[in-house]
Amino acid sequence: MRRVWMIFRRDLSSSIREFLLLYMMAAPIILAIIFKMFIPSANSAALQFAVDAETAKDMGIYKTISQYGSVEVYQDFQDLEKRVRGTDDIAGIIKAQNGSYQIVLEGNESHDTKVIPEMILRDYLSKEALAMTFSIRDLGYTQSPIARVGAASLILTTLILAGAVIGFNMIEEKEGKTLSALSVTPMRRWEFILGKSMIGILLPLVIVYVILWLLDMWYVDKAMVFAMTLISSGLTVMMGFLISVFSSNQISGIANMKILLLPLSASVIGALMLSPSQQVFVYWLPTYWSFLGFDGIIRNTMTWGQIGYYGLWILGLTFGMFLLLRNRIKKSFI
Amino acid sequence: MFQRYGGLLTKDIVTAFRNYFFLIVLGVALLFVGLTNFLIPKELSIKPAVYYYVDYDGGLESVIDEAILQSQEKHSKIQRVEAIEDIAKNMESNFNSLGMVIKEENNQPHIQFILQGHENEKLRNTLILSMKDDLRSRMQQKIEIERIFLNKDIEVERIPFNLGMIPIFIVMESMLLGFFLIAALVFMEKDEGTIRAYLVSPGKIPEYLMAKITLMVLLGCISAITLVSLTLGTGVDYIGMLALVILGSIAAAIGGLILASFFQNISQASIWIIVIGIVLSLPFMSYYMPSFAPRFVKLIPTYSLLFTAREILFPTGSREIIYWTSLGLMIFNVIGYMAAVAAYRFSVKRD
Repeated sequence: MRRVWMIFRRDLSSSIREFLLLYMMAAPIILAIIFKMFIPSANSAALQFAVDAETAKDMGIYKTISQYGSVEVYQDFQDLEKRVRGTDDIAGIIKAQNGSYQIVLEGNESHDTKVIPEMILRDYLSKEALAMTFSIRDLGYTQSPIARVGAASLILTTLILAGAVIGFNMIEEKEGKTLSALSVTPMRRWEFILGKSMIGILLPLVIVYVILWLLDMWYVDKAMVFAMTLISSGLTVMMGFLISVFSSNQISGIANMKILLLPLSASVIGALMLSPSQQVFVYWLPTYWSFLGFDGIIRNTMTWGQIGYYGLWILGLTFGMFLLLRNRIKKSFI
Repeated sequence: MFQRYGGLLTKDIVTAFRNYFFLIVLGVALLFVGLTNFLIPKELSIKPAVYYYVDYDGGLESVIDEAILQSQEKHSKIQRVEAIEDIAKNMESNFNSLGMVIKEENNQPHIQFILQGHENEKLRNTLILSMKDDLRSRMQQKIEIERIFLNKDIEVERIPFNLGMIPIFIVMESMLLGFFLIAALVFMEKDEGTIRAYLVSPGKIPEYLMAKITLMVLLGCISAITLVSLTLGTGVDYIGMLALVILGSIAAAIGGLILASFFQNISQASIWIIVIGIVLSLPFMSYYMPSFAPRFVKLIPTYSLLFTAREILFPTGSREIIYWTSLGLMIFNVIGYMAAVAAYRFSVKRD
C-alpha cells in the first residue's frame, strides 16, 4: 500500500503543479453552471408566436395566444415575415383587412407549430360553447426530466473526464519510458494501476456532490450517491486504461478517446430513446448502468437492491474488460 | 512558401496515416452509415404514453369514444385501464406518460388530465386545447383558418427520423473532428521540439498551421462524403455540402488550435476539449424542438451549422441561413486564423 500511496502522491503533486487538478475540478463545475442557466429555458419551452402591432392591439387575441406560448410583437408584416423566416420555428398570426385571422408560416415548421395556432384561433373565434369541462391535476413530480437527465449525464462526464486524464497521464509515462523503469522495481502491476487511478477515483467523489448542490438536487440520498460514484469509478479507471493501452502516443490517444466517447454517449441516448426491450443492445456498456443508477437516485426511486444490481453489472463489465485486455495491458506497460 | 506548405502537408498526412486517423474517420463514418441505414428507425415517437379511464355513458359517449379510437390508430401508446388507481401506478413506472379520466359532472362530460407535475402552464393549456379542438371538430362546424406559406415553391416533406440525424453527424463528426484531433498533432510536435526546430528553418508559423488545417479539412470531407453518399445517395447538393464542411472544418480546426495554444500538454487540453464538445452539443435540443431557441443557444456556433446542414441536405427554400452561416464562417476563419498565428507566435516565444 505504501507504493500505491507514493504513486498517488507523485501524481497528485504533478497534477497540482500542472493545474490539472484545478481543471478537473473546475470543468464539471463550469458545465454545471452553464447547465443550470439552460434548465429554466428548457423547462419553460413552449411554442413561439409572432403578431403584428395591429393584431396585438386586440388584447383579447393577444392574451389568448399568450396562454399557449411566448408572443413577440412586430411593427408590420415585413418585420413579422423576416422573423418567421428565421432559423427557429415561430408561427405568425395576423389580422387581414377583412377582419379574418391568418397564420403565416415558412413551410418547414414542425407539426405542432403548424396546427396549434389554428386550434388557438378556432377556440378564440368559436361562438358556441363546448358542452363539457376540463381540469388538470398532477402527481407532484416537479423535478424536470431535463434537469434530471442533464445532472446524471454531467456526473458521467465527470467520471469520463477523470478517465481521460488518467489515460493521458499514462501515455506520458509510456512516452517518458517511466514504465519500463518501474518494471524493474519491486512494484507490482496492480499497485501501479491502483496508484495511477486514485485521483480519478477520489476526485469525482467530491465533484458529484458539488454538481448536485449546484443543480438544486441536494435532496438526494447522499449515501446512495457515494456508493454509485464509488462503483462507477470502475468506469473512470477503465476509460483511462483503454485510452492508454491502445495508444502509443498522444495523437492516437486523442483519436482513441474520440472513439470511446461514441459508445459512452450511445448508452445515454439508448437509455432515453430505446424501448425497454431494445435497451438490451446497450447492456454491455457500463455507462448505461451508471446512468440508470444516477437517474434513479435523482428521481428518488432507487433502492439499495437496485444499486447492488447495477453495481454488479458495472463492476462485472469493467472486470471482464480488464480480463479481456490483460495481455495487452501487460505488453503495453512493460 | 507553397513548396514548404506542400512539404508540411505531406508530413502531416503521413503522421495522420501512421496514427490511423484516416482509418478512424472512415470507420466512424461507416458506423454512422450503419446506424442510419439499419438501426435508427425511420419513425421514432417520443410522444408520452396515455393511460385513460372512462366512467361516462352520457349523450356524448360515442363522440368521445370515436376521438379516442382515432387517436389510438395514430398513436399506439394510448391504453385503457380498468381503475383510476392504475393510471397513477402506470405513470409512476413510466415518466414519459400522462393520464386521462373521463367522467360525468353536472350532467355533462368532464375530462381530467393527470400530469407528472413538471409540465409548464403553457403546455398544460395546449393539452386541453388540442382535446377541445378534436372534440369540437366532431360536434360543431369546423372554422377554417387561412394559412400563408412563405416558401410556396417547395413542397416540404417530413424528414424521416434516421435521415434527420445526418446533419448532426456531419456537424459533430465531419466538421468538429478537427477540433479534437488538431490539438493532438500540435502537442506531439511540441513535445518532440519539432516547432522550435522548424522555426529556425525559413519556415513560418502561418504555413505550419495551414498544413494542419488542410489535413483536418481533408479528413472532414472524407467523413462527410462517405456518410452522405451511403445514406442519401446522389440526389444531394454535394457542392453546397462540401463547401459547408470545408468552412466548418477550417473553423473547428482554428478553434482547436487556439484552445491548444493555452495549454502545456494534451492532458490539460483534453479536459477543455471534452467540456467545449459538450457545450457545442446543447443546440441538439433546438434541432429536435425548433421552437425551443433561447438566445444563448442560438449563439453557440453548432446551432446555425446544424440548421444550415439540414437546409443543404433537405432544402425547404430558406436559403438565407446558408448564406449567413457561410459568411459568418468566412469572417471567423479569417480573424481566427490570424489570432491562431498570433497565439502560436506568442506561445513559441513563451516556451
